Amino acid sequence: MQKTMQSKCAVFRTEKTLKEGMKEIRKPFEGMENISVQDKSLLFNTDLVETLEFDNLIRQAMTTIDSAYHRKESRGAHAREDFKKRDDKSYMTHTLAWQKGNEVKVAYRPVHAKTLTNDVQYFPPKERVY
Amino acid sequence: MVQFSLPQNSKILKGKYYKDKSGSNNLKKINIYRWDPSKNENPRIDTFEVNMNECGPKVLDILFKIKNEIDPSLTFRRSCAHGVCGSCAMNVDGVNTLSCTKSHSDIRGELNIYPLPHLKVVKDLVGDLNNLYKQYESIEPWLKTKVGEKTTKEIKQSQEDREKLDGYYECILCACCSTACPSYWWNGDKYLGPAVLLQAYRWINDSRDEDKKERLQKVADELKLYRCHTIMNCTNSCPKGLNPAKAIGSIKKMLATS
Repeated sequence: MQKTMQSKCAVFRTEKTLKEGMKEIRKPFEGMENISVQDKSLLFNTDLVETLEFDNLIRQAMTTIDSAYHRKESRGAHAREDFKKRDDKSYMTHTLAWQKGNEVKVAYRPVHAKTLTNDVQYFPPKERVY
Repeated sequence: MVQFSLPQNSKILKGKYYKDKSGSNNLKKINIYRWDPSKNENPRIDTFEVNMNECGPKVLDILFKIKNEIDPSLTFRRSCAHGVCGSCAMNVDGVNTLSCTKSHSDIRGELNIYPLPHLKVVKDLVGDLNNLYKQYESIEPWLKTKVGEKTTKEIKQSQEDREKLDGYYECILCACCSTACPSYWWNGDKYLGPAVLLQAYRWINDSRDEDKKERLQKVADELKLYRCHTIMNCTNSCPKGLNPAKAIGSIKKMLATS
């Protein structure tokens, strides 16, 4: 999981690496069927804790990599080498992801363009330049 | 004559021997203290043969390797793995240190790993640090000012005053020093120990703090402070290269001259 995420879903990513990663990351997920916890004790059971952490992380990894694949633009720490520009027209959105088994469903919802009070104004986000 | 020995149920027995299965020619024998509170058994020393050809450079890498490949029930604390969090403090080859910064190639022959000495063992290499944290809380490790919440400005500090905290603010509270101190072994319930006293000094010495006098008075106690007999084990063991003994000396000096 770690190796796949680091080599295929690092900050700089392309369609190719993400596609490979989407396939690869499903292998450790499928391996979860055969996972077992050897440490059976009830106190400070790091073996159990790490297994539960893995259960969480592998699902996070799958949703991350699938979401990255579908977002065809660059934004912040999501730097697509094949889509170098930020695309506010299509992607001024939050990604929503549902993971069920091997499948990850990706959808979007727009970013709120107003504040909850009148005390401060809305700052439209803009491209970060240095 | 009085004879000192461990109670029957604390005697350390010989544990399991895990033979290497990789057939490597570069093996190291690692002896690790094991104790599981859920089993009604004595602590034991397990020996693992580890293939050093495929192992990272630090003692913590060995522990990871054993946990991942040989025995997943091996229990130890770890977090950052590069000497900033202080979780993986343990007794390696007879010296308290952080296993993540200790290189195993420094150690010839068999490698012995124990939990920090003189702590109640929670499990395997995990010691109970509750007492130390309670003592740390007792020195009130936060900035105290007379203006209190009324001020809305930041409290500034000159560069020279800031430099006075060098060598003290770096402490990560790994407890290597306190658990290396014979005085703390005997009077750990009352003596604050080097780690906490170094922190106490860090706040006494902070130019922005306005509670210096009260802080000094609070530690000026025969047991809390003056159980330090300058044995210097603390300074010897500190994995961050700090000098708790000097901090304690400075507190004593401040009290003697104020």
